[in-house]
Amino acid sequence: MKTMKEEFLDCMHEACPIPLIKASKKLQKMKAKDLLIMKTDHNCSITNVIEWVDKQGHKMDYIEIGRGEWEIYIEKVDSHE
Amino acid sequence: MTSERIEALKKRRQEEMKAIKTRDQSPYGWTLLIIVLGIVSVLFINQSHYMWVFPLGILIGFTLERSRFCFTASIRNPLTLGTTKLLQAVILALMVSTVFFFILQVLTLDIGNFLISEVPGTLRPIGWNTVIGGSLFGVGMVIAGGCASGTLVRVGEGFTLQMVVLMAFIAGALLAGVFHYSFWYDSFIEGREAIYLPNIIGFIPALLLQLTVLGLLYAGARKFAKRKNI
Repeated sequence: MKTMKEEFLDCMHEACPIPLIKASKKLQKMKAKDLLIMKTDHNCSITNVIEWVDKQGHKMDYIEIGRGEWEIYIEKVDSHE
Repeated sequence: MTSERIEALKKRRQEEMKAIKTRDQSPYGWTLLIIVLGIVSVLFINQSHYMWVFPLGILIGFTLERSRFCFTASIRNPLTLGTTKLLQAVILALMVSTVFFFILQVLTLDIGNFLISEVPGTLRPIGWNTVIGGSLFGVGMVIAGGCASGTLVRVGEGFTLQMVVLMAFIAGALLAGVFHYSFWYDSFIEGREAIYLPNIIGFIPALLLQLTVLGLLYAGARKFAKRKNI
């Protein structure tokens, strides 16, 4: 079985659109089926990430992990599959 | 869209987080609510019209926060990410407010016999002042990550960076709006009349024209998002 990696991205205290730019750069380096965990305290960047990730076709979801802190989980989908 | 592995990861992280104790913040919320109700009742006793304005402002703030609405993102995202959901939302909001402002203005004004200064909503002459001010504001809001309402909402959320932005925002507003206002007035505004479309083409055509333009912009935004992929 192919090993699937989990990457962590700390986006705490960063305003839009920095978290999304960081995520897009990280996703480019990742392989399909790898998971990316993003941590952010910027409420609005969730909306941006959801819409952008949807458009790219990756899978994602998020939860509020602490008070005013969220974790966004993205599973990279290979666009050529 | 979620997947099995993401669901598993979510569960795992939630379990891990249960071990960490967080302080209950609801007492702060209740205290604030009581303060708000106190202010509203004082305004009510004094029969001030702020009795309506103040709670309305709080409800607008609540809506902005919960919906994660962001005017800055609505303008910035189409160019940086190729996504236009928020821009479409803003255009829709403008269409709704166009209709309601139309009703309000028709009901308040003595049609055929009114001054522009009597029109509900503040009408100001357009000119280079609009272009310069808009550009300065646009550059500033994208760098700072928030316009006026966005910055206030995020300060309320406790986002530290934007507290600095708020201070700069106030400083800028004082500098340009108060200390330098006469410069802007003398150079661009003096001697110009505000343009009020219903005065030129009539009330109903003005409403239809504005709704058509906004509708076209909405359609254009949708098409743009489908074509553009970043």
